[in-house]
Amino acid sequence: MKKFFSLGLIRGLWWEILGTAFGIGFVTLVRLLMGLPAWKAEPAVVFGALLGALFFLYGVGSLDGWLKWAAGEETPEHVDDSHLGWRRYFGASLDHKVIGIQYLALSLILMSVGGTFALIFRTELAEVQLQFLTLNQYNTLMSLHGIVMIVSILLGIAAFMNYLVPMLIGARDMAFPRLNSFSFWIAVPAGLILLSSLFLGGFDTGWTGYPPLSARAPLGMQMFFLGVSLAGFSSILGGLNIIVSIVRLRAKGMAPFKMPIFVWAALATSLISLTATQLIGLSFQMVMLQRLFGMGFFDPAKGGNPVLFQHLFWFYSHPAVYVFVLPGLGIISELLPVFVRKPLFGYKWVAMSSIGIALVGFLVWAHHMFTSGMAEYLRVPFMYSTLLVAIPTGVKFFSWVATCSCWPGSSSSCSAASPVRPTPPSRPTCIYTTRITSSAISMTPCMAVISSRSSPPSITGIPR
Amino acid sequence: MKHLLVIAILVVASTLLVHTGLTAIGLLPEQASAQAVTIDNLLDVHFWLISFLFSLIVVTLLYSLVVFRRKKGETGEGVHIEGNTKLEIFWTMIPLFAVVFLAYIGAQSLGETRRIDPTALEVDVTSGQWYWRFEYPEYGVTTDKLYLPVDRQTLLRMTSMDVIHSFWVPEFRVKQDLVPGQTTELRITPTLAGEYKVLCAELCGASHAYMEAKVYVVTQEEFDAWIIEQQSTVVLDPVQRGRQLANQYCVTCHSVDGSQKIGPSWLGLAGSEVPLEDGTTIPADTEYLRLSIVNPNLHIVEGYNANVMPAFANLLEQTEVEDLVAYIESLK
Ligand code: HEC
Ligand SMILES: [Cu+2]
Ligand SMILES: [Cu+2]
Repeated sequence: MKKFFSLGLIRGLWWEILGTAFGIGFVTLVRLLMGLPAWKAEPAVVFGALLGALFFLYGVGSLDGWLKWAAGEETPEHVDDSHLGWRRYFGASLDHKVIGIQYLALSLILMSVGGTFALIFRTELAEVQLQFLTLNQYNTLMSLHGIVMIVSILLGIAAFMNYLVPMLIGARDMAFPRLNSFSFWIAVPAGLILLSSLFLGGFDTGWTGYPPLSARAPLGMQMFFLGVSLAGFSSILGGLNIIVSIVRLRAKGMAPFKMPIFVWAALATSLISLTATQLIGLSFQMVMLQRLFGMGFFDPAKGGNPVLFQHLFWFYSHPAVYVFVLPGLGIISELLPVFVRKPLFGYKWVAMSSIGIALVGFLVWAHHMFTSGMAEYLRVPFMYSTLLVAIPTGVKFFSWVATCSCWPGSSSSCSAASPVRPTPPSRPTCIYTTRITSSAISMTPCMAVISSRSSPPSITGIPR
Repeated sequence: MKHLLVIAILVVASTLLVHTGLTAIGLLPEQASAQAVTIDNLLDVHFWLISFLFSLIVVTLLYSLVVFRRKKGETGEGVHIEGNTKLEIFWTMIPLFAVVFLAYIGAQSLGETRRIDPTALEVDVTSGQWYWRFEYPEYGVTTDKLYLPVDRQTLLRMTSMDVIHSFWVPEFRVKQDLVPGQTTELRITPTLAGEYKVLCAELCGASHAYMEAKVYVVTQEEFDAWIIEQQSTVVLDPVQRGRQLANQYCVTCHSVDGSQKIGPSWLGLAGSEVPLEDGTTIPADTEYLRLSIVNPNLHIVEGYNANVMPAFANLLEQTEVEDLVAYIESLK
C-alpha cells in the first residue's frame, strides 16, 4: 500500500486535487475581499483547474530537476532508475524509452475513452429521435470524441518519436530529458481537465469550438479550451526536443542524408508541432478571456470578428493533419524496403517530400473556410496552395511503387541473380538490417552496422 | 516491356471500373440548380483523376507483389536500385502541371457559380437558434418557408442573430455561412421545380440537427400567386399571430403542453410565481413575459442557464413581442 501511494502518478493526482481546491478557494477569497458575490463558478473552476495541473506536475516529480537547480543543488546528468522496475513507468522517469512507453499507454487509454464516446452516440443514432441521451449530452460526447481522439493520436505519434528517434540516430537519449518528462506529464492533467468537462455541463461546439457558440456554451467549454491549451505544451516542447536531438545528437558520421527515413518524417512533424501549435492555443485562450473578462475578440457587438478565430484555429489545425500522417508515412517508407529487400527508391526525394509537405501545409489553412464569409477572392489562392500538397505527396507514393517494382531487373523476379551482391551499397542500408536481425526492443544503434558493413548484410531474419 | 504493357492495360481497365463505381453509387443528390451543373462537372473531372491515380498506384503495387514475389529457392536480396533522378523529376513535373490545370478549372467553375444576374430576385435570410426566416423586401412578405421561382436567379443576403449557421440545400450544391455582424451572399438559380430542404450546415448548438426549413421551387406564375396570397392573409387575432411566431422561433426550446425541453414550458406560466436562479421569485405578469423575451438574461429561471435563450429584441417588432405575450398568456 505504501508502495502504491509513493508512485509519482498517485502523488501527482493528490496534488492535483489539492491544487484545484486551492485555486477555487483563492478566487473565491479574492472576490470576497473585492466585495463581489463570493461564488462565481467559471473563474473559480478555470483557475482551480490550471493550478491543479501545475500542482500535479510538482507532485509527480517532473519539476524536481529544475527546482533543485533553482535551489543551487547539483543534479546528475543521467539518472538511472532501472532499479525501480515497473514502478518507473508511473513516475517522472528521464529515460526516453520509458517515456515512449508512457506516451503509448496514455494514448491508448485516451483512444479507448474517445472510442467509447463514439460507441455511445452511435448507439443513440441507431434509431431516429433520442432514446437515452439528451441533446446536450449527445453534442458533448460527439465533441469530446473528436478532441480526445486528436489528443490521443498526438500522444501516439510522440510515443513513436520518443522511443525510436534517439535509437535511430545513435544517441543515448533525447537532448533535454527533463523537458521530455515534463512534455509527457503535462498531458496527463490536460487529459483529465478535458474529460472533466463531461461533469461541468459539457459543451456543444464540436472539437472546433467556434465562437460565438463557444462563447455562450456551458462551463465544460472552458475545460475543453484549457485542456487543449495544456496538451499543446506537450506538442510544442516535445517537438523542440526532437528537433534539437536530431540536429545535435546524431552519431558521428551520420550526415543528414544518411539518417533513417523515419527521422526525416519526425523532423518534419516536429517542425510543425513546434511552430503551429501556438496558434490553436492562442485562439482558444482568446475565447477563454472573452468569456472570463468580457474581452470582445470574436464578439461582433463589441467590434470583434468571429471569422478571425477560424483563421487562427486552422493555421494550426490544418498542419496538425500532417503531424498525424507524416510519421505514418515515414514508418511505411522505413518498413517497405525491409520486406521488398531493396533500398528505398529515391531516398533523398522521399526525405525532402516530408519537409515539403510540412512547409506547403502552412499555406493552405483557409481551405477549411471557403464558406465562412472570409473575403471571397481568397478562395482561389488557397485552392492553388492546397492542390500543391499533392506534389510532394505524389513523390512519396510513386517512390514506394518504384521501391516495390523491379523494371530494370531480371525478367521475372526481383531477386538479384546471385545471393551475394557484388558491390556494397553506397548509402547505408543499415537500418533495415539491424531491424531484421535484432529484436525490436534491443535494437542496436545504426552505427555498429555502418562500421561493420564490409560483408553484405544478411536478411535471413525475414519471416517467410 | 511486357510488364509495362500488362500494367498499362490493367490500369486502364481499373480506372474505368472505379469511375463507373464512383458514379453509380449515387454519391450526389439530385441536380436542381444551374450552379450544381458546374460543380458536378468539376467533380467528375476529379472522379476521373482519382480513379486513374488510385488504379495506377494500387495496380502497380499489387502486380509487383504477385509477379515479383520471392520464388522458391531464391535467397538473395533484390536488385540494388537507389533511385532515378530523371524519374523523380518526371513525377514531380507532370503532377505539377495537372495540379495547376485543376486549380485553373476550379477557379473558372467558382467564377461560373458566382455569375451575377442583375435581375435576380432578392431574399433576405435571417437565422438564429434554431430557425430560418426569409424576407422578400420587394413584396413585404416574411415567411419561414423559402419559395423560389424556377429558372430565375435568386440572391440571398444572409445574416445571423446569434451564432454561426450555414445555408445549405444539397440539391443546389452551393453553401454559405451566416455570420453574426456580417452579411454574406449566395446566388442560386434553381432549375428543377420541387420540394427541398435547407439544412443548417454549421454546428450551432443543441438543436442544430433539427434546424431546417422547407424550400419550394415553383413556376413564376405559382410564385406570383403565392406572393399575393401571403400579402392578403392578415391574421387579426393576436393570439393566433403569437402562435405562428412561436412555432417559427420558440418551440424548439419551449413546449406548450408542460413537457420539458431546453427552456421551461409555457403551460400555466402566465400569472404563476416563477422561482429564479438567485433564489427569489417573481410574478409572471405581462411585463415579466415581455422582458423575458427581449432581454432573457435579466431574470434566469431556476434550473436553467443564462445565455441559452437568444435575445429577440433585434429580431422581433414591438407588436410581435406583444403577440407572443398574448399567446403565452392564453396558455392556461
Ligand atoms: C435556444 C432555446 C430558446 C429559444 C429559441 C427560446 N427560448 Fe425562451 N427560454 C429559454 C431558456 C433556457 C429559458 C430559461 C432561462 C432564462 O430565463 O433565460 C427561457 C425562458 C423564457 C421565458 C421565461 C419563462 C419562465 O418560465 O419564466 C419566456 C417568457 C421565454 N423564454 C419566451 C421565449 C419566446 C417568446 C421565444 C421565441 C421568440 C423563446 N423564448 C425562444 C430558451 C429558449
Ligand atoms: Cu486542411
Ligand atoms: Cu444552425
